[in-house]
Amino acid sequence: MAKAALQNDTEKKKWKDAEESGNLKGTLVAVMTMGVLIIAAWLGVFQLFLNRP
Amino acid sequence: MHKYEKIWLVFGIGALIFFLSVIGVSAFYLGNQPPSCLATIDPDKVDQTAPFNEPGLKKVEGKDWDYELVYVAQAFSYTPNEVEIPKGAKVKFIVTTKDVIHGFEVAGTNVNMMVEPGYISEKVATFDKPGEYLVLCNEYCGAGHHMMYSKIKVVENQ
Repeated sequence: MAKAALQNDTEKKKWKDAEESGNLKGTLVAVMTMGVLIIAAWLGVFQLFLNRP
Repeated sequence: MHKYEKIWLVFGIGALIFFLSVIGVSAFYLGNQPPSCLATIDPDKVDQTAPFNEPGLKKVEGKDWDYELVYVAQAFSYTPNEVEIPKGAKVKFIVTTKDVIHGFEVAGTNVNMMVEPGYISEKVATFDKPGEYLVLCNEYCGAGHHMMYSKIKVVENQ
């Protein structure tokens, strides 16, 4: 009985990890996109600052 | 640690170091400072305290800037109301307020600061382009806030 339960848990964990890695890749892409936008906006405002009298 | 977590951390900490370095060089090497609240003054005695007892444009010698432009802000006007500055002049703005918090922005330039009672705000700017510049209050100060402005005219040298 105990062995059966352990196998169940291990399988559940593998399935959960596989699903999370899929979400994580999408999350990474989304976060990196946000990061690029933030850096672009920062550089834009910095350019304004440098170019104004 | 997950591989993606490492990538995110490198990216995030790298961006932080870059931003802090730019600000650090700007502040410590180029001498850029926040303009507001460096020196203090008694707000009740502004009219008797130099240099605010004589607001306006004054030529100075021996300093990093050519002129000092002293403003007194109050609800709802700036003194002086109009100033003429020669083209190319490097001007130090020195501003304080007699009553409430005001803003002081020379539209289209980097002169943009808060003016708080009890404090003096300062900013150095160079006017290379002739024309008319609007000085406006961008911090709500009461019923007449939207009418609070003055003019700077940058004129060609004779």
